[in-house]
Amino acid sequence: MSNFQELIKKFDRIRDFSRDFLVYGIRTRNTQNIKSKRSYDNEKRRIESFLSDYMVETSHVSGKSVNISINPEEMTMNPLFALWETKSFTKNDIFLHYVLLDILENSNKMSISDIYDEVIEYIDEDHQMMDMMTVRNKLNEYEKLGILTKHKDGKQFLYALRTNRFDSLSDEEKMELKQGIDFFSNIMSFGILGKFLSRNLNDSESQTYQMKYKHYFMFHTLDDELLFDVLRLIENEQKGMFETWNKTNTKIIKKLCTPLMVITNVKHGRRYVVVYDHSSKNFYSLRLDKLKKVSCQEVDSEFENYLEELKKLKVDSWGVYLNRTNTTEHICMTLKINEDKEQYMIKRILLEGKHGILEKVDENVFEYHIDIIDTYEIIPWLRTFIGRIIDLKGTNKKAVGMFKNDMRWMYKMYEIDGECLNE
Amino acid sequence: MNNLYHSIYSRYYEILLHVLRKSHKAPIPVKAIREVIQEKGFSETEYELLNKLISSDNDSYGLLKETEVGYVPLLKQAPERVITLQEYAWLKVALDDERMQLFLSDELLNKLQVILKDVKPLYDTSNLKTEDIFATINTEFDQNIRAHFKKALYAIQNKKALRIHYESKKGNRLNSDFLPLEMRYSLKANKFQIEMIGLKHHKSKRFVLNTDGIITSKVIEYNESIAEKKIGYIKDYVEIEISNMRNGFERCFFQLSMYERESRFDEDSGKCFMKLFYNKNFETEILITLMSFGPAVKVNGPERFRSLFLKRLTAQYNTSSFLNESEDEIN
Repeated sequence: MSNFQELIKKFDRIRDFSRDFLVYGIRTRNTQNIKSKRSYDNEKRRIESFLSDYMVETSHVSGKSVNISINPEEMTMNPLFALWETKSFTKNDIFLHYVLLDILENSNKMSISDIYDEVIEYIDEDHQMMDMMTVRNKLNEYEKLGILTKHKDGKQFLYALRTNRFDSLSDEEKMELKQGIDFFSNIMSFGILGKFLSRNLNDSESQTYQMKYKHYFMFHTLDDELLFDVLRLIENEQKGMFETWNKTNTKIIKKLCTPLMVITNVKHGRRYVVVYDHSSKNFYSLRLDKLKKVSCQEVDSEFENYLEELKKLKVDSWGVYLNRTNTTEHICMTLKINEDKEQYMIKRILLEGKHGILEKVDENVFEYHIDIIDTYEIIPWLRTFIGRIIDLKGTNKKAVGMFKNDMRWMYKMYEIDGECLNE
Repeated sequence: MNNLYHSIYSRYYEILLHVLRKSHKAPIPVKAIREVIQEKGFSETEYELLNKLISSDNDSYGLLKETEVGYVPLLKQAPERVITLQEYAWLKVALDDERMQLFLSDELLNKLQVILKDVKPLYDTSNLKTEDIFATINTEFDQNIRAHFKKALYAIQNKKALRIHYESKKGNRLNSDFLPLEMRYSLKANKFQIEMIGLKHHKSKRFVLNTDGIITSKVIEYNESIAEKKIGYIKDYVEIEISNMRNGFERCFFQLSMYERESRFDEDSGKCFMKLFYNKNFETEILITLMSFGPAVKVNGPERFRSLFLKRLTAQYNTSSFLNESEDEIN
């Protein structure tokens, strides 16, 4: 590892490893599903450097596993944001960044040749001279990023530095805005941009109150680069070639799809791109974390029709399972709820029960029933009522049977039987 | 093509910004440059970056010049950070979110809308949906809620107390003085909760209040020193084993990734053993989360938590005989 470099060119090199270290943290170098052990060593070393305060190493028979361990009670800003600050660059990139800003700081508009003349004044005798094309490319790149303006003046272009739009805000207003931005950095997509914006408002990071978060899946930030591309496709109503990992993460599958919406599940932590798949002519939910690449294809003239159909299907969906069969399954759960003492339980069902209906059928007995596309999706939620379920019936006999078999399994696991109950 | 992962956001640029600013005030010795790198950089940054800042060879960045009194910048002025268009575009999305009203005054919100009037939002929020969020989400915040929220934030930040009249969703009323310790936001409930300690009638008792249940609030002085132990939350843990039935590892690990935990894989049994740490205020939530995994998760300890789990299972065993209906069974 003598040529080890801390920074990297492409984010996807650390994306999968960091998620694995954060979500699982149990795989060792020998049990990782990877092609190159050397690549594993390099990426592990990088992530250990980027997130050194959160890395925990555990020894196993098969080697050491690495875990990114973050206590949410101590987290006020997503620590994984650090991974976005690891992009490599050339010495010309960083040199020109500071020199161009220095040149344009006190100038109005300058032509490329005037800027170039000034740039070479900054280069000392120990450093190689750079050509005008390098400077021009950087100016055009910064114009696209919105850092510079570019105007045509006769035969030449003039460049100028854009003013900081927050200059007109008072210090108090900046702090007020920073507080809001810090909050949204954690809860909104592309939160890393909020973090970068926030440091422009105040260099001292400790002056605003840092909130804490519940039901927060910090690894979502790792997929933001792909999310951005997917959202662009949706906005432009374009098809995309989606390259995703298969279920066992061993093979990449390519699908031509039209993305229609992105769904974030705040309970399970998964994010999905809901697409119309042109080969199977059906709707699917593709896991965003399993998405490897998406490339832009032609505009889909049927986009609006697919979206309309999807919205109708979504009405009957408990989660993200969708299909075009136009059939729903019915499930009915009878519950014991003490109306005097357990109003919170009724409120919970109303809050979490989606389009299902809760009805009182007897004193302290309620029925919750719902029509959904796939009964299996609701089962984890039904299990949260264990202890008060009087009956469970549904049209999907296999799914209901699975629920009941699981209950028996749990009784066996915990040795709950008549004898134990009599104690 | 997006620019989220761009070199101008590199930590090295940020470090250099601080070094250049310092050196602009006065020549800066190597020791001070090293300190900036150690403070701002990643754990291996110093080995890679220091030489590129201070050496004079062709591989260095060429932005600092060595003098007899230390390093001086080649720049004419102290550098400023730049803001990209996509950062403003991100803010434009955030400003349109009702929750921003809790943090910003109407005056500032209006001012920012003017400042960013020509900026297109980074994305269309209608293309992003949230699943399993509570149904009756309150997305509108009236002036009262905004005022209570701001007072609570101010009190936490400035170690002041709050005189609060509160009504919970369960209908319980409280009228007392509290010392707010922390504010927490739940993405699932879209609620802000304040963890507080009672001061008068409920001395030292802990409360978690939702900001939308506050009817009146007033910031008041509180002079007693706050014992450190009161500020911290009560941390507890549960030990579980996870089997990979029906892809149980992935389901459990994903959902439990929001908690601090220690995990190990046992090759002999093919199971994962996990110690999960949680805030005791939210114990019921972790209990039903573990219950939702069914037989993929077994609670091994500690005994107190295991007995809470067993209590529900036993109650279920006693509640119904619906498991006897054999026609539903599958193998």
